Amino acid sequence: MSANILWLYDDLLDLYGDSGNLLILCNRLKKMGLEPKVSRLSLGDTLDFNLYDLIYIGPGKAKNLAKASEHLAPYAGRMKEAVESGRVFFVTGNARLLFGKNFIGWDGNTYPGVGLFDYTGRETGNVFISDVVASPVFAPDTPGYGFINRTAHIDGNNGDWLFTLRSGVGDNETETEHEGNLLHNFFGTWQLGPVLVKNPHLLCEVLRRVAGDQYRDPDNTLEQKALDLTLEEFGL
Amino acid sequence: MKFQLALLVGKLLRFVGKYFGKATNLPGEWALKLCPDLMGRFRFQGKVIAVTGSNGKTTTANMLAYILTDQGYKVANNAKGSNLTGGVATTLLAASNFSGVIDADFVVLEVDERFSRLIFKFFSPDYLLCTNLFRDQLTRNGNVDVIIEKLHEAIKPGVKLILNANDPISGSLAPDNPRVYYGMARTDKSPLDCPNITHDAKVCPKCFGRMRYFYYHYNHIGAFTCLSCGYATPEAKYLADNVNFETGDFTIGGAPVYADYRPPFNILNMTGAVAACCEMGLSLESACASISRFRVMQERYDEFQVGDRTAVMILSKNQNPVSFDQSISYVLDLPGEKTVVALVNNINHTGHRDTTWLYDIGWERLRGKVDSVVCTGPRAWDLTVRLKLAGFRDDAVKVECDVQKVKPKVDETKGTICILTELYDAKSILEVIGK
Repeated sequence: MSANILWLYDDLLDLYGDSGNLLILCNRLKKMGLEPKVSRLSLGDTLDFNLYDLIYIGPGKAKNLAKASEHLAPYAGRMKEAVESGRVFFVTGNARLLFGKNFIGWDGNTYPGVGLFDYTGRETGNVFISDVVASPVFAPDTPGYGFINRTAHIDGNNGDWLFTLRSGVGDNETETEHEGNLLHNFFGTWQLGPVLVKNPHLLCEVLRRVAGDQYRDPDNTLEQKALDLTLEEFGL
Repeated sequence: MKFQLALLVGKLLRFVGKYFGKATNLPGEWALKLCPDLMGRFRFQGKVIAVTGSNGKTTTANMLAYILTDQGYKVANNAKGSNLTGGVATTLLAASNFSGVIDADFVVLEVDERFSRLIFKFFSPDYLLCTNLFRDQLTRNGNVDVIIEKLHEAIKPGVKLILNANDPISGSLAPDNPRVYYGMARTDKSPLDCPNITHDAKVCPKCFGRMRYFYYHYNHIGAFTCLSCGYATPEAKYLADNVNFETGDFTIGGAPVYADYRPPFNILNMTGAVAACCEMGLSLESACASISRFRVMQERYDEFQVGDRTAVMILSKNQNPVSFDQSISYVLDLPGEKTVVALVNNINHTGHRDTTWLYDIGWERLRGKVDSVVCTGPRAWDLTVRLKLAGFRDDAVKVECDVQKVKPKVDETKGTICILTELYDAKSILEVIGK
């Protein structure tokens, strides 16, 4: 059996470390007896979300994100249908701007989002970085570590959060309680890079929803050890 | 009056600072406080060239200064890599007389790309050489587009650009400025497919169209064309050709050159330095003869003896995956058995625990090619996770977070010890394993 993964805008939205998510997903799916097949689509390609078990979109440069927004806009309805029908999405960093109502881009113009959430985004041009220690809402006692490096904010994210924060910031620089979104099987977070490597419980939950009956608890001993050493430095 | 006072204070601080190791940045910083437009008030009697880019700017600027000095010119430069505003100001005030006149034939300034717009706010170089642009220290720099914007603010009209024809990103800088390109022809080490994970120009930097590469030298450096707008590798006026990596011999425009340090990126750096010198009036033959005598600083690459084993220090910059990728290429080219020692710290200067950048380095290339990788430093276990996901066997990965205790782990390994880390970390490893 195979697991079909789409890395959407792999050439356009590839800020740094993003391939780590696919690396660990493919590694674990293979151990469950599923053969991961990773497809890559971008500008100019026709999109059919129903062909995939998981759709992954990572963060990118502000100009590239604006291009992705223009390409994705005609698919807004089908994207929302795919989320509502339970398709698994994993979205990191500023790619989340694509899923709100709209966002103000690098050039001051407003770019459309697919409207899955009511929030809006805005590019600031200023680099903001933060360590994040946060627990996914479905595993409140199991914090993971993440990193934020962004030049944009999200305003008006009022619910369906993915993470409860213990340290660091959330959707904008004043939000310190919650971060991200979990809606049906849509996982979205401001954290970037190999988020799933540093959050074993989030990894398991994403895998559970992708693999279905084929899911088996993966051995995350090594990842947990590295995470525990990081969390110790935050007094946890 | 303000300028003269700043100059006097700066020179005095530099004189005193030499005794306290504070002579490269601090004098300029204080002089700038007294006279914010200090750098715009110097009068240059010679030509000014700036060198910037993500990787190789220190070495390339030193090559340039070496060639010019070797050819008998009087050169002022910031040789110690003090490339921020204070460092450049210190270099200029040190080179000037008390009237603010800099009588050097050439001023060679290595300039941090992020600080370029501040450094060139009040004066402008005659030439600017940009080696390349990659993702680099994203926590400090932001992404490549952020750096391009800053460079565009820094580059005034009329500045002649010396650009890398094999880099589609820096090659398209400031399109209205006069320019000349240097590059490297295909070598026997130029694969058809990108050998690395980090590839910052998968889409066209001009139109976002799909790019086709005919070959790669490393990462996104190669020969390219955009399938949408036709942007293609510019013609290189100065082209490194007939590169023999075994002997270090190659040619530029038919003139023979010898390289003591032979990775592809260094051949490109040498060609860039020769190109800049020729554009500033030197003959190709004399520039090539001088660069052939240049020796890469031991701070970038050095060899040591540790007991009966050889240790090789290869400078690898944190948060700079291209730097590590090139170090890995160097390790793979070394003969015989070898072991890699890598120290992974928290993020320099900020202390953040992010190790995202480890996933942009192609550690997979070392799998099965080295005896072991020894992981050390505060984030050693994060590197271990990365290596296990890259498919390394359990017994090929050794871990000791405390660098002071890493010697027993290194002693379990075989072959040449290749230390891939920042300069200051490499020294601490060498001290420990050399005991």
